[in-house]
Amino acid sequence: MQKNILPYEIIESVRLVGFDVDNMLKKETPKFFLNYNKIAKIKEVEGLILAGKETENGVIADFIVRPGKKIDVPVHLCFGVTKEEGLQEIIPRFIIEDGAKVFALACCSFPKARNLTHKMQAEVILGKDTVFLYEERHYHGEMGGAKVFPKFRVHVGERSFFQSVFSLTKGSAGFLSIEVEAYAHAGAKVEIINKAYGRKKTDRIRIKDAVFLEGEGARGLVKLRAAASQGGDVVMVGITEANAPEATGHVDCKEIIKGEGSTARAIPIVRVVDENARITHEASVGKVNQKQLDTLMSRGLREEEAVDMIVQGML
Amino acid sequence: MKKTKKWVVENNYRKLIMDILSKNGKTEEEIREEFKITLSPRVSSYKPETILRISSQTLKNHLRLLEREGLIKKGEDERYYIAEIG
Repeated sequence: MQKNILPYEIIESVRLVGFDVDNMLKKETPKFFLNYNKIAKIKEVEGLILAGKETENGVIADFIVRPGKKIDVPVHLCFGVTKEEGLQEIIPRFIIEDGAKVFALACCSFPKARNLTHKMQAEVILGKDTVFLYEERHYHGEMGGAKVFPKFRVHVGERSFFQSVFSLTKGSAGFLSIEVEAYAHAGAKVEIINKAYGRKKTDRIRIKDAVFLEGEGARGLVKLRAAASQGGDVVMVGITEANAPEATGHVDCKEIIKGEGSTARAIPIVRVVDENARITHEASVGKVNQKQLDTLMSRGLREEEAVDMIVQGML
Repeated sequence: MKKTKKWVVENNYRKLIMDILSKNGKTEEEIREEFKITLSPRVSSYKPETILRISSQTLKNHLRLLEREGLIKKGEDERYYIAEIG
């Protein structure tokens, strides 16, 4: 195992969000680690190109999978900052060529953030018949001092599958604004899943995910799960637009709200521009299930712990 | 000129169509020919192979919508043009 390639606080937060740290740190595991604006480690494997150029505040990076290459182990990405203040900017490009398959696990960790901004502007393209699974988990510390702006634009080629799962369920969110736009070509399938928890008065979460179905038979799913408690504020907008025949999509927003001053808004938007396409949606915002709460409290949990457990269960 | 609905240009592919037409008027086939989605690496010297194109029916749908919303117009020469502002 490779030790000391990332600060201890970052490693611990990777563990906290549930990733397998031991596996992530193995010498042979493909990886791209960034410590503020310094590339801490890059490990490529056959068929996978990882390249980065340090900038004043972060990195410009390439993540490329060559045609037909199937990367059979997860590729770990880690973008961390242990400073309390500052700016980190990540500008990655993901190019997944025809017939390739890859699974990336990304962790963004800002454990000491007091006035720290993280920006990510990612562009992604998938060729034909590819699979790209991307999971990103965040930890913004406990002080609510992070301002985080991840943006993704994704183009998904014919018959390819792209899935993005974002989660921020531990610690304090601070200000989080996620924007994803994905374009699905003929026969492609796109799933965008976001999970976020605003548990403090200073937590403000904004999520806007849009899937554009641009090819015949393209399919899309936008699934948003969020919770607001103790004054937290969450707004989720899930958009699906069908511009091609036989395209189908679904938008599913579900939020839990608890505590005075908390606010939660869920806005599903469906648009159909082709008469042979179909989009559906569902949205709900509601309080914590009282029966579940009573059951957990009767087993000795404090109310706050019981609410947290119910929310984590939904997320 | 109609007031542009924000959602119409929220789709980047419609913006790209407008961008193609901003140089000069083009037929549907010419737009389709020019419409390409590619990404080049920023750091690596790798030459990518992936090029995505728009399907004929999807392009027709976008053009109809942009025309209806007053952002483009179709000339008698069968070419589409950016609609004049004002």
